[in-house]
Amino acid sequence: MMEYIVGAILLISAIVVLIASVGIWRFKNLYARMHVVTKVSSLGLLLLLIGVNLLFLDWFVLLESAIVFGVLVFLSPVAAHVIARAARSIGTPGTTDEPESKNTDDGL
Amino acid sequence: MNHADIFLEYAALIALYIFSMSLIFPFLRLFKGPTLPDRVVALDQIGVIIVGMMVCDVLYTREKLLLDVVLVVAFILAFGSMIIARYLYKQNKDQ
Amino acid sequence: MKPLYFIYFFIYYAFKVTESGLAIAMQVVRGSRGENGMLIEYQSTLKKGWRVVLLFNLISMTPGSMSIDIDSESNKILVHLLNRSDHTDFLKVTGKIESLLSKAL
Repeated sequence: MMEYIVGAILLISAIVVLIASVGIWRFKNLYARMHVVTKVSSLGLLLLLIGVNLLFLDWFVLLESAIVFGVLVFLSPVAAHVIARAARSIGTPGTTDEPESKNTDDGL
Repeated sequence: MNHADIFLEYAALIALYIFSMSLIFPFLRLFKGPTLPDRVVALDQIGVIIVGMMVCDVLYTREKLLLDVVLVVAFILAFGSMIIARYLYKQNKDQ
Repeated sequence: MKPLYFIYFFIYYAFKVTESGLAIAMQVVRGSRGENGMLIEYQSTLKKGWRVVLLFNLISMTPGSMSIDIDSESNKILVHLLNRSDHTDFLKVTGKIESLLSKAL
């Protein structure tokens, strides 16, 4: 019975990663593409690791997939931050705008 | 061999086809991308797709030991992009 | 520093990943080109170093916002928003996350 659920989760995560790849090809701005890589691909990997845990039901597999989740999903915002900051410092076109000061009380 | 195992094998094969089809778009971005950070982002996505293919292989052969390979590839993927960004930053400071 | 808060934080993080991933995947399917983004500044009130890093990661996982740069003296975080209309929503969610962090740690 569990094999049907795992197969369905596997297909859903493959389609999510396909959507992320299409987003990388279609988006125009560097920061918008970085949004796609950070969030949609993390969702695909989370679904894959849930599928592996449902199939094996083992403590060692749970520990190992928790480490993979920690490395890939906790560190992907940090990697995105480092790349975005480097791109802003070398002046990539499209990333060098000044921040709009919306924190003041201009009637939000 | 009952129906559930056959369903899981075919699901893993179809997911492998979808993953390899989605490798096209990051490679197009890697060749076309106007600047170097675009190419770094495309390489990140290629690494995520490779991790997904390895997990497909784990579910197809039901071999737990292949998860170690997934762990090592995840580490290399997470730290590689940071090192490339560091190189970009330092290159800017030298000029 | 209670261990129960860390488990709660883990589950909250996974929930955030699911929510933001679905939101942006729907935006890609609908045919957006990602052109109407904006940069804003957010003034944080947290003091210690790794709490700011935790807030940083959580901002990157909120739907439609990504943290880019940080000023270490005035604690101002530079945030990129994918849609221009998400601004009030972003301020509300981030204020809630910040109060929860300062209460839990």
